[in-house]
Amino acid sequence: MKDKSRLIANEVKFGFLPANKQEREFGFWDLLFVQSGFGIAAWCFLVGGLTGSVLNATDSIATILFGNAFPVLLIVPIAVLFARYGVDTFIGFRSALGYRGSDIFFVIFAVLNLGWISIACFMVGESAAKLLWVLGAGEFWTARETGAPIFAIASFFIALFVAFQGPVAIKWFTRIGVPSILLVLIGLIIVVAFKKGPAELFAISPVNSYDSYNRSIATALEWNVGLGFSWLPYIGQYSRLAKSENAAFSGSFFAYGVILNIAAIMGALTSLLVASLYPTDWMVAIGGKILGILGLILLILGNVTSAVLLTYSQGISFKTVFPKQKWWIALATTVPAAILMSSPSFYDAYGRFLSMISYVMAVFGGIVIMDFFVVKKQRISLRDLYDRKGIYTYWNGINPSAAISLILGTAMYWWMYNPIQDTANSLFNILGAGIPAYFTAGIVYYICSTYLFHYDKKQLIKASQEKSFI
Amino acid sequence: MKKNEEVQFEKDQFVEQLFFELESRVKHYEGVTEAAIPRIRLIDTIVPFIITCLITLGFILAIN
Repeated sequence: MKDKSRLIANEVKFGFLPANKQEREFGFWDLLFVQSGFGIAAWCFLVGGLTGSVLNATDSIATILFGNAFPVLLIVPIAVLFARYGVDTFIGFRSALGYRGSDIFFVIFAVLNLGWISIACFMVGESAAKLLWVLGAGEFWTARETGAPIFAIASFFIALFVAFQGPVAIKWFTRIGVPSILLVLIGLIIVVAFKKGPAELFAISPVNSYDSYNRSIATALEWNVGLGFSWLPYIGQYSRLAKSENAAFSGSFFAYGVILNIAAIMGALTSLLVASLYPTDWMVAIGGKILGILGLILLILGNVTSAVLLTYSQGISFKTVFPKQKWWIALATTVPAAILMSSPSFYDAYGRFLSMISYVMAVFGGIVIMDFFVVKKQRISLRDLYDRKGIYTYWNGINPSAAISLILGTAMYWWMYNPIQDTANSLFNILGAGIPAYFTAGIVYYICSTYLFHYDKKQLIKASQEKSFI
Repeated sequence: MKKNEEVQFEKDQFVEQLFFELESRVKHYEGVTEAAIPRIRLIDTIVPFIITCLITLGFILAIN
């Protein structure tokens, strides 16, 4: 028990303190593999499945590649901040958002993370229900409305238990889960390559396309843009351990912007082949009984691991922001995810969830990039990132420029597209909504922080260097 | 010492140690460039930029 507490305390210390040179273990290839392993999971297959349900193979591939690579290129320069100062996301963002602003961003991250956890767990639930269906179990255990939620909630509590055990248990789980999801991916590649010829595959029409072609493209693009922008709060956790700024930048770009697309593209092509957007349907449909069972087991292992990693990541982030809080309280912040798994409604609304992610992360992405590269000219005070009474207090802990940018970025997004009602104005079909919201937030932030809320940064940084924490 | 007091003592000690370590690391970053890692150059961003441009071009060609 004491060993576990010590290991968790070490992880918190490791996450809280700026990384020193000895702790920087990741070169370009390490960052590429670690982040690809973390990123390739249920969400990639599902976004691919959604895309393949509204677009044909050619358009799906083009939309997935552009929809992920472009937003990732827009946000990935922030990896330089984390690499240069060795700090994690919610400490690094204090410079742009203010101390309380960064705490608010953490709360938003935690709420959205509940969505990711429930997506992973519900896929476990569906896989388990499907597995029992193949084995001939009764309707209660195999139905999406009864069996799947029960298994999903059970898998969540298993994930919570493993996360509570700390880094050693997680290490073992990752060693099983990451190869499992990669095996699923390899299986899909083989099936897509050999089941039907390219001519037949590229001639299949999508089953759920919108009334107009442009609307199908724009909506599918928005889902993929959502996945691309969604990496914003996760870039810091590995980039801060990079051996060079270029490794952090390029490693993150190629992992989140390029490699992950393989899983999403395979998801889209399989979705077209099987005429279903759900990965659990694919396994038996393309693999038959035996391979289908194997595929479902691998899907369960991969998704439980994703849930463990997300739960643990949220716990550690909570402890980094609030180091005095207890470990069980940090993990308890993930418990509301169980509510989202109690029915298939949230899982089925994955497209809307992705659009919400696109909105939130695009706006914050525009703000933090503009702050670090243009307004602060890549120079921030490490001391003040940690001193809650330092120069990033702004107005009661919130940067007014960021607050105004958030409001106007939000207005831009919702004017272009309402993800709840799935209604859009005519410009949405040309520009999408997430990418314009990113640029709106960034430009407004620049104007506000340069002309409205200007302050002498150099003088303040110099004054802050004379202070001490102890 | 009671168990609760023992836990509280360990917690306080942990936070104190944490801030002591923080002070030394921040000073290190402020004082010398030894902790600093190689900076990114504009030319390092060229490959991701070109790849994104090619993907964008492919996307535009595909949807037209």
